Amino acid sequence: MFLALSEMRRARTRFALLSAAVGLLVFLILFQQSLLDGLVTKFIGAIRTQDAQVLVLSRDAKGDLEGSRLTLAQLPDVAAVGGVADYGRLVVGSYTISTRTSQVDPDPKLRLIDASVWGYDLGSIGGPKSLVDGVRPSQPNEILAPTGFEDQGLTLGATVRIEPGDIELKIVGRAKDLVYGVRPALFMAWDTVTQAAAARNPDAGEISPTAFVFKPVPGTSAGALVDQINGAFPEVQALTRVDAADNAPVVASVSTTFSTIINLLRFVVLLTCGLFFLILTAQKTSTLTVLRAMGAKSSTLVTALLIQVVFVVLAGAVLASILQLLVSIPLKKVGVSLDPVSALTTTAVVLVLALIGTALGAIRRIVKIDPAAATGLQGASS
Amino acid sequence: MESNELVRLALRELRRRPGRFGVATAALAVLALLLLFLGGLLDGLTAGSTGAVRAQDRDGFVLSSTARDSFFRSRITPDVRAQVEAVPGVSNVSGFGLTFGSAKIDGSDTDVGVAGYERRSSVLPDPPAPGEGYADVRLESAGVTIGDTVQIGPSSPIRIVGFVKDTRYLQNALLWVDLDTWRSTTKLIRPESTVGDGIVQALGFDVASGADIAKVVVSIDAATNSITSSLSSDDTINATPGVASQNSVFTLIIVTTLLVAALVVSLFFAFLTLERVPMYGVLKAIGSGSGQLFAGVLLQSIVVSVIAFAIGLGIVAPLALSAPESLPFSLSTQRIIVTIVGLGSSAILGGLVSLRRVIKIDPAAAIGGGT
Repeated sequence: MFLALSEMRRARTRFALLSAAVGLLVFLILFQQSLLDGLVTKFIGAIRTQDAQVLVLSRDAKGDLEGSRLTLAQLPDVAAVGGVADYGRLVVGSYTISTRTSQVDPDPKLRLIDASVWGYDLGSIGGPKSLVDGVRPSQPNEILAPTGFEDQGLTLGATVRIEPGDIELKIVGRAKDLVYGVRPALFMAWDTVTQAAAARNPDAGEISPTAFVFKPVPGTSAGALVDQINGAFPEVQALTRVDAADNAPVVASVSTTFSTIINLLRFVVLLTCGLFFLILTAQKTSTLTVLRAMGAKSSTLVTALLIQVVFVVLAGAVLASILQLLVSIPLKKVGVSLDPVSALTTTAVVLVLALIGTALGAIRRIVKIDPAAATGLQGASS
Repeated sequence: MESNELVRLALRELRRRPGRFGVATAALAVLALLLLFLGGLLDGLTAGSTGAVRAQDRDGFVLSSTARDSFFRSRITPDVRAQVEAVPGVSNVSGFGLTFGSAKIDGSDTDVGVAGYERRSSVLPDPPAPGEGYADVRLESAGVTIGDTVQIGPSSPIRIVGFVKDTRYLQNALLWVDLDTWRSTTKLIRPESTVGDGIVQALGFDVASGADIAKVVVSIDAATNSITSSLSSDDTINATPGVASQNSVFTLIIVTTLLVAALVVSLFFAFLTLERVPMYGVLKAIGSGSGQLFAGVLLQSIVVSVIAFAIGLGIVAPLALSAPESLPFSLSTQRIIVTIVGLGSSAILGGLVSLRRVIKIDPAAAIGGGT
């Protein structure tokens, strides 16, 4: 320990640079993991939050809720498949909502925001599983909104409007993670969405359901109901709630891209740490040889090296966490945050990679040192 | 020692001891690969999302003010169009509409959009006859050929009469049809988005020669009593869903990766400089200046970064050529140049860390330390 720390004290710049490099790499990994988790929730949070265990989409939508279009005539046939305790319809669309910049100011400005509007049959399934505050809507002009959008005017009791049109709605309850397509998801009565569609487009025909929602009878699993529906109706695709969320096309493509980048960054950690400690070891080979000749064991020298690796990675992890905290302030809206569990896991993975990189080069070099070679260093004067 | 001799010395060291620089080059090559991959992905995502706007070659677009710059939420009536056409400085007003759907192509469900337009451009021919359409080349890769009919949902089939390039929107390949075909197709596949005769989602327009687009968009919205929200073509592209946020996120990751590259270079050359202290001491003793010695360090850092970039490009380029159509990846010459300049700058920045140490080398102490 003394050997490791005193060397780090004497070569502060080098170890500081390496810690900074590892810190930035860990930050990049933490940032992308957090962004991925946040983005996935922002894309499909509302699917996870709604209470139907089975969703049925049109087959050609390929699991994409926004691309799904069904007909109301299909609903009774699909619902008659057996094992269904409750069912309903769901329509999802993108609308412009106006909110007030302040609920207190008597003359506040109007603010326009993008929102995902979810229409379902009030009192039936399709709404959020649980609320953070307020009550469920019982009237056509009452809606549920997500928490976390207070700065955009979506507070409990606030009045919002769907634009264009004079459809005034009151937020009577709120739930967590009611987001879809990186927009707040507002849950309301089916008829309210019909009214909004007509107000926006007077030429609009009948609204098509985006999905049917089902609750299986006790004793029937969601998976079993899914298999029954898919077997009986090839023109639709039934999915459990989990599959509808986790296998949404956008989730798969974003996850693949981010995973590729994160794995490349991990490889860079391995190379960078391996490079640094290999060069460091090479530079002090003569010193290490003398220490071996004086009786120091290889294990002692390797332990000193490993202590330095741990120190560098931990210092880098602290730097990364600070950077992640700083970046999460402006990027909170897209879900970037510092998750302690993720930070610890990433640090552990990076530490293992750094140790592997070090083992491949520096540790092998230390272990191969021949103490007898020390006599050759003083051979001319003996 | 003369400068060109020191330059040759630096290059000779690279040639004679490549292994010494190998690991640093490998680390930088992975970073170069990452930078090219990120840049190509960003460019591919942006291109695949905005092709439909760029393909129309317009100076600006007019949408409903309540649409928040979304084509799908916008609705422009003939009355509003007449108001826009009457604004001084506005010319070549034409309608545009867009609807997404799904079509069975070669037995697979494929996301396909229908775009109705009125005016030709450098990319788009004159609108085809009713019931016909030009397909984005992405559909040709999916198996569509000229003469085929593509049926989107329950709509009437659309006969393909040609292909156009780089015309996608939000990663969806489009069929470009006349406005009547677009309206009738929309009525069948998206009844809730049906529009009546003469109604479009947006208007494209050009500005008269010499007119200022910024002033014209303000004039248009004033003329329509703010029923419309008019944007330049660039602003319309930037308002495409996801483009702005993708840009900022990817840029943050790219800049951070460049900083990592600078740190890797600085680490490596800090070590090298330490090892070379006796050699630098001798060189200084025989008359070399700190600047000349440091130039050698910078030269090596640049050469290492260029080789690393070449390795990274050598891996990414074949991947770019063989990437599946579903991967939005586009490696442009501009991106390659930006990446090598960024990497080279990082290398120079990293090399600067050794400058102080090189300057501080005292020839007498450096040589005396070796005896």
